[in-house]
Amino acid sequence: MGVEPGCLIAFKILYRGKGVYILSIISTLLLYYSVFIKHPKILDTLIIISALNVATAILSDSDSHNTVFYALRISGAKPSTVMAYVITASLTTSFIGLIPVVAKAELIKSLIALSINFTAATLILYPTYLRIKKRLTSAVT
Amino acid sequence: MLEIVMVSIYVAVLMFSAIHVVKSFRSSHHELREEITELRKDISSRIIVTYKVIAGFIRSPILLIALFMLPACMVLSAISTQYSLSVTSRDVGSTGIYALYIRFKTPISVSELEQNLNEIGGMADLYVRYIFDSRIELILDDEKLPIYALVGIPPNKSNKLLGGLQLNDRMLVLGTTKSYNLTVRLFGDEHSLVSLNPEIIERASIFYGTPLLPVEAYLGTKPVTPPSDKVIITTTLTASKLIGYLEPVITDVTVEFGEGGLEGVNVTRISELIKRYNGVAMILRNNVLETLSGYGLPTTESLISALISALISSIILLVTFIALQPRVRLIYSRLGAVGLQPWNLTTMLTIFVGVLVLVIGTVSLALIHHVFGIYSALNSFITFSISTLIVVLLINKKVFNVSIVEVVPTPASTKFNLIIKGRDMCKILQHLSELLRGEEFFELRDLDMRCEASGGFLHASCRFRASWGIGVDLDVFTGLSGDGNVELSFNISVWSIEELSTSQLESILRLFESKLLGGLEVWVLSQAA
Repeated sequence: MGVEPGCLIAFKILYRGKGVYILSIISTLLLYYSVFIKHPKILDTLIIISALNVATAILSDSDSHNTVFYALRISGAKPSTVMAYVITASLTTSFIGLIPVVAKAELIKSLIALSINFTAATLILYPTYLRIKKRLTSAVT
Repeated sequence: MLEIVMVSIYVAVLMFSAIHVVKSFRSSHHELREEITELRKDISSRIIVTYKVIAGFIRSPILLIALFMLPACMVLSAISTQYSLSVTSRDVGSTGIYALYIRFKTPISVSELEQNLNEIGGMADLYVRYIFDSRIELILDDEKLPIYALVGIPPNKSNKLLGGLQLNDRMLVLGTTKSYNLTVRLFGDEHSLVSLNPEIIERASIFYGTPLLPVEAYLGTKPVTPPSDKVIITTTLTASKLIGYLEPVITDVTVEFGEGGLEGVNVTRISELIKRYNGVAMILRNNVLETLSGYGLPTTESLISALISALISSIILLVTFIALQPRVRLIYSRLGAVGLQPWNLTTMLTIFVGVLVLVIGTVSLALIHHVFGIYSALNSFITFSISTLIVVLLINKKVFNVSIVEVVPTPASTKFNLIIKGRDMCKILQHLSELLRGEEFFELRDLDMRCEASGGFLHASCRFRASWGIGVDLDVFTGLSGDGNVELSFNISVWSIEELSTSQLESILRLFESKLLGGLEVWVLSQAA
């Protein structure tokens, strides 16, 4: 059973971009608040910052994501490859951004934060792909 | 006198200037009107340019995220200040006690607190420790006793606190050496007055370091209480009535737990409770006494928290603005055509971002001050000022500085000519195409070939098998040189979807080139044999 090429491309792009590193640094800094600040509202604030952090990480690598989408589209990649790319990139960034929330050890809020992060990342990546697809289709016709 | 002279000089100079302005305006009326029209056009065109620059900038979602990030980090800073201001802990030595104590500034209705107390858990003992605004007189048979304070204790605790005395709702206790055992009328109700050894009352404490008698002030860390003969002690219920409440009220709560029982206590609920009713809570975990209060001064922890949140917001703001760099260059390339200078654009964008960040930060500060209070707002201000300073300085130098030369990587390519003696031109091209078809490192994706008597060409596009997204384009033009020799012009270029280094691209180029030339060389030699 082989690995979906989209997943490998996503890992490669994230590894070579700066977004994941920034995300990791900020998640590590946010751990201070998770571990040392025992305030009732701190977790909600961390969830918001985590989502913004993930969105920033995706947007900071937007050039690389655009290039990959162009390449995938031009090379006639299967839709499953594109979806694999979007899901892998979104999930990876979501999990890294989730670190400060998970450190508070609240299962329900961690799951909520994961879904918010994933939605934020996907809502940036997938419309980007659709825009590129539309642009290339209109260029051909 | 001097004032009058100064005003006269000022009026004279003003009138002189006004007359000259009117004169010059009359003399060059037409020229001035034209200049004003030009100036208006200039100003309106600048406004339109500025609007276009800023509109192009505002439309990017990444800017919106950056602007959300600053208030979020300020709130983070504010929240952590609230926490670090309200909790202090110290080692008090082994006590063997695991208990919670909450003190309220004013009496609070028991019914109002009941739900909160149930959520905290454990069995609560409710007390009233109340100091009267002005003293009251307790009239006995032959004397008047001034009373300054009232203490209400739960009946089940009286045995322990009052040296074995069993208290009831109709009993008042006074800490005096005089022996009293009489009935007094207080606020319309009859009560029996009992005297007790003052030492017992003065020694009694409801929690670690908290005496039974209400604290009037502190001398250093030592509490100062009213004398025990000036304080009436009764049950919590009677005390509530005596201070004028129709329903039971309390000012102090203690909850005792067994070892490990405090782990399940809802500290969040306690924090909310003391914040709401302006109280102080203490948690004693054997040797550690934690004090939670709504007051305090900024601490080292709160400063660290402000610096970390400033760092986070600065990093995110910078990253988002760096991501906006291509958009800035696009705007500049458009506006550069109408004569906008790079420094002009840099200044314009820096001022715009600076004003935007300042407005958002100030509004957030005002809201934080309103919701979290002055200490949190102070910490948020530290976060805000550091972030703004770093961001404005760095974006001015690095992000919006469009005059910085951008290095664009050039694709690796090579061009060379080859002359082969005494061979058929079309056969050479045919052999090249066969070589490409059977190539182990490169997969042939596209091939065009045409060969005529006077010349021919071959175009091939290959994919590098070992890695995704790398390919080679080959163009070969053939022609006849003198003496029937065939001249081949090779044009090979390597492309990559990803941004590979020049050395990587060149090594792929060399591999392709060597495979091509080697194959051709072997073919020529085999033909000669």
